[in-house]
Amino acid sequence: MAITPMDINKRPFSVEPLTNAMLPDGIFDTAIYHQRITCYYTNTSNNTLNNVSIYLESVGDPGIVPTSETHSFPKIKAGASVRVSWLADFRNGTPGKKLVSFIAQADGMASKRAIKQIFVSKTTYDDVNGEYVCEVEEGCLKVSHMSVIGPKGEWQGGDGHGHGCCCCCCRRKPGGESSGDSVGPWIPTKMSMAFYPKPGYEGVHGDLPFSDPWWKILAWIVAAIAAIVAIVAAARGSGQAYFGVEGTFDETEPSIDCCEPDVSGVAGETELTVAGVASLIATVAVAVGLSDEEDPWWRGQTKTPPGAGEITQVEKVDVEFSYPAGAPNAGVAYPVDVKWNYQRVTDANVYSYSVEEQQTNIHVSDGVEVTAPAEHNAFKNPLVFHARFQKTGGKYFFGDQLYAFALLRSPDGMFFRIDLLDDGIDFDSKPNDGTYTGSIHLENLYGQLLKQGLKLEGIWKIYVFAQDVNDATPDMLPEVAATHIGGFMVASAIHLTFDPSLPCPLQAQASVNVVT
Amino acid sequence: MSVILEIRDGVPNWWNSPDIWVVPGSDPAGSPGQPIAGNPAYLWGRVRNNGDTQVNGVRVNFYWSNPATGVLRSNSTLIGSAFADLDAGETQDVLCLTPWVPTVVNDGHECVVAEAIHASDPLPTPLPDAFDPPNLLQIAQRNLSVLAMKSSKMVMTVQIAVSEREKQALEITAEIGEELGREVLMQLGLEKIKFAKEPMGKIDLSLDRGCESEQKKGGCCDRIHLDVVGGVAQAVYLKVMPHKMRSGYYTPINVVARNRDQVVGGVTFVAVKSEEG
Repeated sequence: MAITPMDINKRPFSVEPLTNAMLPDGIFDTAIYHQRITCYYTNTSNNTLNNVSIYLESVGDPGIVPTSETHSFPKIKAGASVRVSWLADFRNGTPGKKLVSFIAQADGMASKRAIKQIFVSKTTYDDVNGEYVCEVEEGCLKVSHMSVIGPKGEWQGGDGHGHGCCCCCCRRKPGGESSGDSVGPWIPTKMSMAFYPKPGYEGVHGDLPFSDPWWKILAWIVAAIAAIVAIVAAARGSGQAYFGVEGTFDETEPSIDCCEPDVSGVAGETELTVAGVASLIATVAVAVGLSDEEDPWWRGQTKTPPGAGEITQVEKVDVEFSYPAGAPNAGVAYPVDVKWNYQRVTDANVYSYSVEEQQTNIHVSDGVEVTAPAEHNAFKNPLVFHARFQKTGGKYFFGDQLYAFALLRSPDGMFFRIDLLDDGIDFDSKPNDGTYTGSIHLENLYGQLLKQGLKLEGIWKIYVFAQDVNDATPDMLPEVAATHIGGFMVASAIHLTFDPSLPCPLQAQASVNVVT
Repeated sequence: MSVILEIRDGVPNWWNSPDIWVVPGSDPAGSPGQPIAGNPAYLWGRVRNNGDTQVNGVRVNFYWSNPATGVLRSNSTLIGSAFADLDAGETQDVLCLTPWVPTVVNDGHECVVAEAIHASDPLPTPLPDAFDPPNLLQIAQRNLSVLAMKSSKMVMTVQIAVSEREKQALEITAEIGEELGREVLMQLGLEKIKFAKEPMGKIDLSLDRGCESEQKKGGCCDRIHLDVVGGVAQAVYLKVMPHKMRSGYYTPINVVARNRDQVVGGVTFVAVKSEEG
């Protein structure tokens, strides 16, 4: 019997279920209790496969507890990649590279097992020292003195850990209540980081986290987690049930304020998505400012070769960011002015290297094209719409290159999340043609709207979002794999500005007049 | 409409299931073999749905315990779990991806248990302390390990235990076993060796490593009577003296516990000549 020709070509990634956002570089972190193990499964044959079932078999860490679920597909066309995910509890997970096995089986074929690695970090918050600690097998990154540009009016009196200043936004109190009600975004302006390699190492370069991403990704993870926790705490006031850390920034930039997303009309399961996406766009500035090519740790190491036999014990990076062209935005080549100082502490000496430069976001898109019917009868057929995400140079993202979804806003402001897929299934006519399709039968939403006294008829708006998927392969050298980073927002309907007088603009890419 | 899950017991000894095996090393898809103490290994199970209904999300739990004739939940450690979907009549191999590192103390001689759990074919409630593979199709045990014999006597510790709040008068025996199935030999990495018609070892049991207590009664013996109470584990020592060892051959040695002539548990050691001499 032939073996089912299905495989996973890209590393499975983490999706945080409250915001629906992919975590930085797809890395899982145990501070976020519930995450979706998400991956693209590809039909590697030249034939259509029938009645394909896919399930997650096992995770190589007893502290990570997945939920059993089988995904079924009546047909998967040749070359098509289907997106599948499983909810898992990560709270007792341990940091490191973990194996995950998946089983795929098509009609008339033997099952095929795919064993893939996921990356897991463990972020905690040290209340005493006021610092985040992000652990990986290769060491831990301590992050402190995180300053941000936040929405106006979120200054809190009190217990900030900064420079004796009153600061501290959206700090969740023990027991889960939030002391601030802002949902961000928080754009980083300053942070102090110290990487403690485990064990200390001899020579110029130490091991990269997971032998793959740069150290800067850990800083991005910390900033993103702090933001997500703060958003959820602000919106729900019960962060304790979801997270193992607090959402804390140390200082808010006094001279600039950021816009804040308007989530007042947002309800349902997607209420945190807009705020989550906004904060992801904001925190990604850490990764942009610290460069994709070689991050400050690698560059600092190169410039500060230690003496023979010296053991590097700590590597500190203090960094400041500013935004000369305004707030960072998804898919835009925005500049970040960055000043950083790298310090290598060995058992015998201290070495330093400083840089002041401008970095530019290279995760850019030349725009999003969304097509939807001008008018749609809610009870007749499903509403179908399409999105195409253009890379620079005229090419389009396709298939498993993007994690994309749309928010559909009812005339009264209720949001619904819809997957955007280029898998050739249902209303997506062809896989891998760069057209991502979303569909929903509005008839199925009618009861939900009715219950809340909201109307079905009227103008519905479509907002699309997309993050790129890390395309590093296991055979790459660590320093090459490190330059392949996923999780950047390449398209977003929300735009950040440094104008706090208005909500962050949420720009619909298409509208549909729904009739009954 | 039924779901009947089975992980097969061994034949003739139910504790030597052919549906549980170990892959030593860091590659879970590698070849089966004997676990190496202190080194990672992966556990595989094989589950069959003998019912006439498809079942999804069967959870297979894997446990390890010290070499014991009475392997109980209370003296076992959960290694990890895996899921399987099974059509009616389908058999599926299941991989537990949690690396298992056999303890150095037992030198890799450990017992492994696998159980298949699904609401459509539930285990008894409340769950008994004993895994009880002979009476529960969903559970099987692999108390089978390779004993690489050198020229000197080897002593193996076997734990004797019964469930909490039970008391049993057990007869423990050491026996030369029958020829093992090809499947089981392959799982041990011994597919090329043959059954030795003349046993390659002289075996004895005792209650201490040095036979001192038995010497008072006339030396070590091939059977021991023990009164065992729940919650208190006792040890018996299997002593194997090499006898006409030959490369390429094996001798199965069983340590069997019986309560009133009924077999309640056992451990099998497959004695082979050590390549190290």
